[in-house]
Amino acid sequence: MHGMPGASPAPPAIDDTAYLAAIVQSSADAIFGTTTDGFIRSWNAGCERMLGYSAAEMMGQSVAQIIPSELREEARAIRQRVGMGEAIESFETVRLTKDGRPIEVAATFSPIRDDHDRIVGISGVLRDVTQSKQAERSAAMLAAIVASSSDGVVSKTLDGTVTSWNKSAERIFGFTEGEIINRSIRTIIPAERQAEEDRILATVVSGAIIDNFETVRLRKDGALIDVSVTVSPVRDSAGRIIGASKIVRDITDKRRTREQLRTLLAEVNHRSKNMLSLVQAIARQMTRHGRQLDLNRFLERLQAIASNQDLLIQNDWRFIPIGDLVRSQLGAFRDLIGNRIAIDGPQIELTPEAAQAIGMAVHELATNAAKYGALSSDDGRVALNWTQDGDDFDMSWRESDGPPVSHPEHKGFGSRVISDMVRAGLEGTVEVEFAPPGLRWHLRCPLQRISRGSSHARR
Amino acid sequence: MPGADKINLLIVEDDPMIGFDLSVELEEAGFAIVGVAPTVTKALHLLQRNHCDLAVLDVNLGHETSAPIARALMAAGVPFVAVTGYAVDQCPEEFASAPLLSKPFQTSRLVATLKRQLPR
Repeated sequence: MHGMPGASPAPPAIDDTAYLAAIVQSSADAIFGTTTDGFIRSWNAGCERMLGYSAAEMMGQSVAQIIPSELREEARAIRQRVGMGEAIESFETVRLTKDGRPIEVAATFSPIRDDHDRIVGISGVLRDVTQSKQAERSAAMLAAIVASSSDGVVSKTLDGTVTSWNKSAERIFGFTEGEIINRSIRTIIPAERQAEEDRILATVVSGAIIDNFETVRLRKDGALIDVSVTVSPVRDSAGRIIGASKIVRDITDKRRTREQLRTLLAEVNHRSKNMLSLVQAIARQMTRHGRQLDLNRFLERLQAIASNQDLLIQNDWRFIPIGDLVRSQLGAFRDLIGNRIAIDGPQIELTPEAAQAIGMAVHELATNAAKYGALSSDDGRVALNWTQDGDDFDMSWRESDGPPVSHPEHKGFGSRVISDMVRAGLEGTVEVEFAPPGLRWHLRCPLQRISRGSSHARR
Repeated sequence: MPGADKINLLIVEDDPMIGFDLSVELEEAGFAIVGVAPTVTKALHLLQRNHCDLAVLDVNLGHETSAPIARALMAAGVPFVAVTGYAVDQCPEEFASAPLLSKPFQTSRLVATLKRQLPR
């Protein structure tokens, strides 16, 4: 003390030991002291809060109680080092609470020396870092999610300067992180859409989110891409909006699929109405001159058209191979093909329109043969041949060995289909001959009327 | 066959059965059928060689549309009626001012629409 006698009265004596003890006792950290061989000699309130043991419980007990068994060897080594005079700071490890729950701690161990500088014990200070470790882990997890996301994830300041740019943004836009960071986000906005950015920034500043905004952006190589953008404000810890995060998804494929679907639906609409027109035309032609509709024949004809459609779909609605077409139309006589029905001709890819005309003709010829001609008896034969003769297509149906042939009294729907309809539809010539050996049908038309040839050959 | 006293009508339709049906029905309704054309080439060919007063055009002809035929008809001052399975807004602009019948339709409606196109 250097106070002069007679000066201000001395302050009340302070018990340094008690004062220090009070600091330790009231510290938020868990502070304890052990002997050099690890027996607890002091245990503050922070220890009790963190680990659940009271001072009374722990006094004289081994510190091993709060150390997970797999870390006891490590703890012993540390004790040895501190016993030799070393201080260990902010060592991250795990300790156990009274109820067995592990908590992550940052531990600092220091030697305790007596007046003669002899090491008589070890002090330990534990700080619970479970929360900050968790925050660190979730931050790392979020960073990993952003990095590996298939969506482009980008952040920018309120003046539009890019501050982060993940791998997918690089893939979508072609700019690497190094090339775009600190540049304006307007780099990826086409000239005619620059005003969008003003609106986006205004929305972000107002605190609102832009959800899945579909637009067009510019790649580094100058190509335009369809994207869906979600923009959210980014706030600092005080809640102030300091920037925006952008999630960008390449929707080029989605848009293309949508357009294809629209085209397809329009096509389905067109085709189904055409099909109804076809059904209407058949019904109308079957009931001309006040004839009653023969419902069974009508339904058979619809089935013949339906089987054509199956073949057309199998070939992507582009063509029908003629061999498949005639076999399908002669389906009811499948067992006769190869013996009483001889089919021969080169493979030709018929246009859908030609396939319909030829298919309907073959259907009518077969139905007629089954009712009145070669297929109505047990011995009759049919030869169905076609050839490619220069620029012409030539097809014939010849019946033989059937019942006697008679000329029909009137020209019904079937007759009109095999002659007039085929002739007009294929711009060809058709001969129908009710010859004594059996009916003969002969079609000749330009090959280009029935097939688009090599440009539409099977891919 | 086209006749001097009748209205000469061209039918453009790629479906053989529908084309056949139309020609039968419209002939019966009193028109002289110039021909049934399933393609643009065939239709333009028929137009060059025949006098034509009126036409029925199927808008979609499989792998092409009848828009070139519509242009040729407009240039020649020949009125026409379009028929289609498509929605109106899916038709080429050449058909914007022509009457359009949606498939399927009754012959009587087509005949009435056709007759309205003729100068009185």
